[in-house]
Amino acid sequence: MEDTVSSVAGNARADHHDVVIVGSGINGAILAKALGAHHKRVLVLEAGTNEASTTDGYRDAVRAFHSAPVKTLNSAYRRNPNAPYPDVGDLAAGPHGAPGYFVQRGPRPYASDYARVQGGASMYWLGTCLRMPPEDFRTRTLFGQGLDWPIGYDELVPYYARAEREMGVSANAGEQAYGGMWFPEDYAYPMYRIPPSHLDRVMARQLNGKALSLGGQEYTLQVRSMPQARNSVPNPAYDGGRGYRPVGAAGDPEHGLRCVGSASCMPICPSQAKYTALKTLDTADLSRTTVLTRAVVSELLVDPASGRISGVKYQRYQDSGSPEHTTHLVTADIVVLAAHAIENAKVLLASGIESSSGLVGKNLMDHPTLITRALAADPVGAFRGPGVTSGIEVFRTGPARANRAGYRVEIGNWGWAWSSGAPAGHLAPLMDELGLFGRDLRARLARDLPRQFQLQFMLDQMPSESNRVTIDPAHRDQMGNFRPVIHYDVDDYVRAGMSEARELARWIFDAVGAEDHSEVNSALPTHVRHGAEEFTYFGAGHGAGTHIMGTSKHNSVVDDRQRSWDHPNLFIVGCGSMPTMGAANPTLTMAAMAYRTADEIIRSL
Amino acid sequence: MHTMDPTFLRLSSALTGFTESDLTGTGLAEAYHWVMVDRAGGEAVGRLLGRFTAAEQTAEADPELLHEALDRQVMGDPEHGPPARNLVRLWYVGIWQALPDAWHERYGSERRSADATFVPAPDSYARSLIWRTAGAPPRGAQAPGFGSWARAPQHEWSA
Ligand SMILES: Cc1cc2nc3c(=O)[nH]c(=O)nc-3n(C[C@H](O)[C@H](O)[C@H](O)COP(=O)(O)OP(=O)(O)OC[C@H]3O[C@@H](n4cnc5c(N)ncnc54)[C@H](O)[C@@H]3O)c2cc1C
Ligand code: SF4
Repeated sequence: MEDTVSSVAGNARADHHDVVIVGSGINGAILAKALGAHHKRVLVLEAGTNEASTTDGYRDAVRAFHSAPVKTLNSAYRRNPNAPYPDVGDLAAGPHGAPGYFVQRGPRPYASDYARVQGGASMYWLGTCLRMPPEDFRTRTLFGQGLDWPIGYDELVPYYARAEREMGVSANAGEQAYGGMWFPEDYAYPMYRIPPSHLDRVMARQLNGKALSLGGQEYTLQVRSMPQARNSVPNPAYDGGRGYRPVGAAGDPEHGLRCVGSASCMPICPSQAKYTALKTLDTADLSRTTVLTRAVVSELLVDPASGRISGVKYQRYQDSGSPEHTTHLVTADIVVLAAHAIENAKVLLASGIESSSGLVGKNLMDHPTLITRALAADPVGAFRGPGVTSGIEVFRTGPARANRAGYRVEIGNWGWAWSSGAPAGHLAPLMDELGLFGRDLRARLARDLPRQFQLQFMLDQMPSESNRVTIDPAHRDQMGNFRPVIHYDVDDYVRAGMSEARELARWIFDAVGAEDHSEVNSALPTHVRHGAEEFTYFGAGHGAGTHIMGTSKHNSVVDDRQRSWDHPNLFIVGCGSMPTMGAANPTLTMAAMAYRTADEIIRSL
Repeated sequence: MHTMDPTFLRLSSALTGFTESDLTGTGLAEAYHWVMVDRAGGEAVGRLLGRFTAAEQTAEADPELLHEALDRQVMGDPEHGPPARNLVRLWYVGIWQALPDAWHERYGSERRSADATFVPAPDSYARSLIWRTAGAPPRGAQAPGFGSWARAPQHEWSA
C-alpha cells in the first residue's frame, strides 16, 4: 500500500487547528461541545464510521441487533477491519493470542470490549451514572491499597453537576447522599429517578434494614435506586427552579424524551432515551468544528526539543472492507487523545511515548464482575425495563477495603441474560440437555424465565503495573496499526472480594427465598480460585488506568487536569487517567474530569 | 408459491406446546416450513412428517401417548431429533441453527454447504415464543412504556 502524506485541504493553514481531538466517544464529544461553545477551531478525528449515527443508520443498527443470531453486547454495530475492536465473544486468553482483536498474553484474559464507531462505547453502554465516594480518591492513605488521586470528591462536585446535565441523569439527590458523597444544598438531578423495577421492590421489601456480619464487619442492607443517563420525568427544581428539558434522539429531538422500557439499552436503545455521545455532538455548536469519521490516528509526532506534539498522523479510508487509505498530517495548538484507555495507550506507544514514569499502558483496570443468579420464589418480571435500576451500595466503602476489594451489588433486571444469554439461552439446556419439548418445555420455560434474576458484583480492581497494554510489531491490523497486546490477571485482593460477594449472594438468596443457580465454568479462561472457592469473572467494559494521573511526572503520565507531564500541548483523557476506580461505574467521573480538562484547555488557548 | 403441508403445523404445535393458531398468528409458519425444507432437505422433512403422522396414529388423539411416541420416535431418533429440535428452536428463539455435518452426510440433501446459523425472517426475533413464555415484551422490539417495569409481571406476554 502506497502511503501519501497530504494536508486535508492542500492549504498550509487549513490543516492547523486550535485543538485536534482523537475520538468521538463521550470524552471527545464533551470536549468538542465545550470548545465549540468558545468558538475554537476544532477537528475531531474518529476512527470508526458514522453508519449508526443517522436516523436511518440507527434504525438499521436496531435491525442488525434483531437479526444477529448471537446477541453479543456490540452486535448492533458492524465489524470494521480498518478500526477493529474486541468482542466479548473472542476474548480467549493464552500465550498464543486470541482469535479476536486483542493479543491476550494472560495469565488471564482482560474480559471487556468496546466499540470503534462514532459515539464509541456510549452506543451500547448501560448508562449507570454513579459518583465516586470521597474515600475512593484516597485508598492508599485510608486502606493501604492502590493509589491516591491528586484531586478528590470536593474538587469534582461542580464538574459532576455539569456531567449530570450533559448526560441527562435521572436520580433523586437525597437518595444518593451516602458513603460520604455530598451535594450542594438544593441540588436536584435533571430528572427524577427512573422508577425501580418490580424486582427491586421485591428485594427491597425483603432486605431493607436487615443486618448481617461479613468478614468481621457489620452491614445493614438497603436497596438503592441508581442514577442513570436515561430520560425520565424532568425535575422542576433542577437548576435553582429553572427545570430541565430532556434531550431527545440525535437528529430526531422530538423522540426519545422518556425511557419506554424497550429493555435493550445494551446493545442499543431503540428510542434513544438513553444518553449516547451522539446527543452531545447533535446539540453542540459545530460551526467551527469538523468531525471526520473513518479517520484512524496512527501516530503523534513529537518535537524533540520542546516535547510538544508537532503533528497528528491519521489514515482515511472509504470502505471498511478494504485496507486502502490515504495518510494525512494535521497540526494543532493542543492535541487531545480521547480514544479509550486501551487505544490511547496504543497510540502513545506507537508514537514512542512511554512517558518519564514509564507508566503508559500500565495499571490497566476493569471491574471484574462476579455474576450470581437465582430463581425467585415468585415471578419477578425478568427481562423488563433498563438492565439495572437499583443496587446495594454498602460494600463499596468502609474499612474492609483494607483486606478485600470493595464492590457494588447490581440487581439485574434481565434474568440470566448476562450469564447465559437468557431468555433464548435458556432453551438449549432444557431441550438439548434435559430433553424437554412440547407442553413440558413450555411449562418449564414459563416457570423459570419470569423468576430469573442475577446479582452482579462489580469489584474494585486496584492498579498493578503488571496488568498492561503493550504493542508488538508482529501484531497489526489490516491498515498496519498495532493490535493491543494485553497482560492481565485478577489478584488476591479482588478474589477475596469475590469470596465475600459469593457469601453475600448466598445470604441474600436465602433471605429472599430464592434458589441459587450460580455456575462456575472451570473450562473458561476467566476461571480463578481463592482458597476452596472457585469463580469465573466477567468484564464490565470499564477499561481504565493506562495513563494514570498523579502528582509528578515520576509517578504518573498526566497531571490532575489530564495534561501530559512530558508533552505540554497534549491532553490524554478518559478512564485511563483514573489511578483507581473504586467500585463505581467510571463514566460519570470520567465526564466530570473532561469538563475540568475543557476549562483548562480554554484557559490555555 | 410454496405450499405448506398442514402436518407441519401439527408437528410444530406438538413440539412447542403452543396451539396451531398461536403459531400461525406469528405469521412465520410458511417461512419456517420453507427454512426446514431448504436446510434439512425436502426428503428429510417429508420423512420427519411421516414419522410424526405415524406417531399420531398410534397415539389415537391421546396427548400423553403422543408425547411419549414423539419422545422415542422423533426427539430421540438420530435422524429426526436434530431437525425436530431445530424446529423448536425456530419457534422459540427465531434462530435456525446449522445442522451438524454428520447429520447432513447421513440424512441431508445436497444443501449441506449452504447450511449456516441465521435468523430467517425480520420478525423472527420479535415474534419468537420465548418472550411469551417469559412474560416479557421482546427486548428492543417493543416499547411497553415508561415505568412498565415497575408493575408486577403478567403471566404471559401477548402483544
Ligand atoms: C457494555 C458496556 C456497558 C457499559 N456501561 C457503563 C455504565 O453503565 N456506566 C458507566 O459508567 N460506564 C459504562 N461503560 C463504560 C463506558 O462506556 C466508557 O467508560 C465510556 O463510553 C468511555 O468513553 P470514551 O469517550 O473515553 O471512550 P470510547 O467510548 O471508547 O470512545 C473512543 C472513541 O475513539 C475512537 N478511536 C479509537 N481509536 C482511535 C484512533 N486511533 N483514531 C481515531 N479515533 C479512535 C473510537 O472509535 C471511539 O469512537 C460500559 C461499557 C461497556 C462496553
Ligand atoms: S429501557 Fe429501553 S427505552 Fe429505556 S433506556 Fe433502555 S432501551 Fe432505551
